[in-house]
Amino acid sequence: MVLGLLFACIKPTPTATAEAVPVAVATLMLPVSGEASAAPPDFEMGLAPVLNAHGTIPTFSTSAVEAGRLAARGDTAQRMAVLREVYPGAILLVETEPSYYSEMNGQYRWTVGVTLTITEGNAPPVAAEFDVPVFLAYHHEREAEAVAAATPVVSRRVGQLLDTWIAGRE
Amino acid sequence: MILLASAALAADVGGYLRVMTRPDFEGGDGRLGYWNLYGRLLNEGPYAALELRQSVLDPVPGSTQPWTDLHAKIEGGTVQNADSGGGSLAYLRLSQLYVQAGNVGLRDTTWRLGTLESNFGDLGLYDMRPAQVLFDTVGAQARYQTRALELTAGAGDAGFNLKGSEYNTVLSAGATARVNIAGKLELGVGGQGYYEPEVVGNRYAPHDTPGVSYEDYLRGEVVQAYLDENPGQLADFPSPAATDASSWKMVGYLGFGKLGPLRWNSLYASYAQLHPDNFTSETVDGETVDIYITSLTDERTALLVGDEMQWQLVPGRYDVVLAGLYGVHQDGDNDLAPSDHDRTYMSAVLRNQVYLSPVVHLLVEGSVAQEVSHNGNAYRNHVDSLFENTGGKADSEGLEYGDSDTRFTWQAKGGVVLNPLGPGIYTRPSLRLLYGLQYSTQNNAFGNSFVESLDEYNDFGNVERHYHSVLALETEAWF
Repeated sequence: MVLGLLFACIKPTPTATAEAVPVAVATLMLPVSGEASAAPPDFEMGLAPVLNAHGTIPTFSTSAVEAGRLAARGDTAQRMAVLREVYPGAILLVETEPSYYSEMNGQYRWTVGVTLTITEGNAPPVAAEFDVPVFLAYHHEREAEAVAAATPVVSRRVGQLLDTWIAGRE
Repeated sequence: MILLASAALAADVGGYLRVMTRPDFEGGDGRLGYWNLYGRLLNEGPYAALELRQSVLDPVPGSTQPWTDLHAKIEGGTVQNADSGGGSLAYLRLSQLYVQAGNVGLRDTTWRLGTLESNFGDLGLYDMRPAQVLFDTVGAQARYQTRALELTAGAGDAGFNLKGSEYNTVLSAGATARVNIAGKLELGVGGQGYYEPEVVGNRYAPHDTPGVSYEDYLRGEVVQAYLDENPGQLADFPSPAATDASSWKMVGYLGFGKLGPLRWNSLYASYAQLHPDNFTSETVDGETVDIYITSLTDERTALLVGDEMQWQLVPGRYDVVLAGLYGVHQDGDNDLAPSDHDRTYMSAVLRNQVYLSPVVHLLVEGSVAQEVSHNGNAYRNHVDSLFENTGGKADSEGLEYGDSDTRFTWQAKGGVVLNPLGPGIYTRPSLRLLYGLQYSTQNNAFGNSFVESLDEYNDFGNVERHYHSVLALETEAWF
C-alpha cells in the first residue's frame, strides 16, 4: 500500500491550450566568462515534455550566431525585440546565468540565475525570475553541466509560467 | 546568532545537512562501525554546514570587469536530539572566512584572502579529500583558471590549525596545477611545505628535551627514569633545547571519463611528512614537567591513495559507484608500540542504486576492509582479551593491546531512497530508510558505552559480539 502510494504519480493536470500553439523557444546561456551560447541540448530536451503537455509545439532554434546576437543585447526586453523580428508567433525566452558559488562538502555548488519570458504578438509578456542552486560532483563539470542540472526545477517553473500564460490568453 | 541571521538575510546562502535516527538494539551509539574506511553510509553522524556569500561587486557575464565577494562558512557535527552533543553551538565553528576578487590586475585570476584551500576533488563514498592542500592555512592565494588549466598558489600561516592554543607561527606555502585535456582527461600535481622557525624563549616553539628514551616517552616515565638515576634532583631536570621543525605534503590526481558507461574515474594520491608534536606533560610527586618531543615525532609519514569510479550502467535505471582506499602510516621513531601512525589499511566500497521510478530508488552497498598494525597487536578479538597484549599474553609491561594485529571488517547496507529531484547516486535531497549489518573480527567494533572489565564485580558482564546492525531513517541534502 505504502509502496503503491510512493510509485503513484502525484502530478497536477497541466493547463493546455485549446489548440496546438507553435512556440519558438530561445534558450540562452550567459556564463560569467566565455562566450554566450544556447543552453545545452539536455536542458532543451528536458523542457520539451512540459511544453508538449501544455499543448504547445516547441521549436528550439537558438544558433550560436543568434545566441551571440541575443547576448549582445543588454536585457530581456531588447532580446525579445530581436526575437520578434524573426518569430511572429509565441516566443519563450529562457535566459540562464550560471555562476560558481563554492565547494560545499564535496560537491561544487553553482547558482543558475534563470529568467523566463513568454509573449505572443503585442500581448504583455509573462515572466518569472529565480535562482536554482545546483551541485556538481566534478570540477571539470562547469557552466553547461550546471544549467543541465537545473533542468528539473526550470522545467517545473516553465510549466507554472505556461499555466499563467494560457489562462491569460484564453 | 542575531548577527548571523541578519547576514543571512542579505547574503546568498548555501549549505549541507545530514540528520538521522538509528535505533541500535545492541548498545551502540547509532553508527554501524568505527569510521569511514567502511564507507561513509551509516558510519557518519549528523552534520550541518551553512555558507553565506555576500556579493559586493557582481560579476558581469562576458565582461572582464572586477568582481568581489565575501564567504563565511559555519559547520559542525551535532543536531539537537540526534546525538550526544545536543546541537550545542559550542560544537559549531566558523571554518571558512575569506574575501575573493576576480579580474583585478590579471584576467581569469581570482585572488583570495583569509582561509585557503585547494583540492582535486572528493571521494564521495568515503567523504574524504586525499589530494588537498592549504586547507590549514590562513593567508593569500591566487588562482588562474581557464577551461583547460588551473594554477593555484598560496601562502600564509598554519600555526593555529597545527598547534591550536599552543600557537607558534608555522609558515606554510603550497601550489597545485591541474590540466584538462578535451574534457576527458585531467592531470593534477601539487604540494605544500611547512616551516616552524626556532624561537628561543617561546615554550610553544619546537624544542627537544635531551636524553629522552622513546620507550620512557611512550610509557610516560621520562621523569621517573630521570629520578631513578638522579634521586631528588628534579630541579635539575634537563632544560629543552630550541630547534626548528618542518613538514611537507605532495598530492597527485588522475581523472578520466566519458567513456561509454564510465562517467568518470578519479584517482587521488597524497604523501605527507607530518608536522612533529611539541611537548607532552608528566606529573611526578605533584610536579608537572613538560617533555619536549620534536625529534621523537618528526619521522611520521602518511601515504594515501584513493580511487572512485562512477558508472551509468543503465541510464536512468541503474548506477554504480566503486571506490577503493589504501593507506600506509609509518613512524620512523616508533618500533615499539602500535599506534595510528604505524598501520596499513585498505578497503573497497561498492554502491548500487536502482531507480524504480525517478523518485523511488533502491540502494545496496557493500564494503570490505582490512587494517593491520605494524607494531604488534592493536585489536581485541574476544571478550577475554582484556589482559592480553604482547604476544597475545598478559604482560604488565607490555606495549601492545589485545590479541591481534589485524582487523577485518565487512558491511552490507540496503534500503529505499526517495530523491525528489530524480535519479543520481549523488542527487540530493535524499530521504533514506536503510538497514546495515557489520561483521568485524574485533569484538564489539562500534562506538558503545560497554563496561569492559573481567572483574568479578562487573555488574553488567561482557558480551562476545562480532555482528552489529542498525536501522536508519535519515536525510541528506545540499542546498
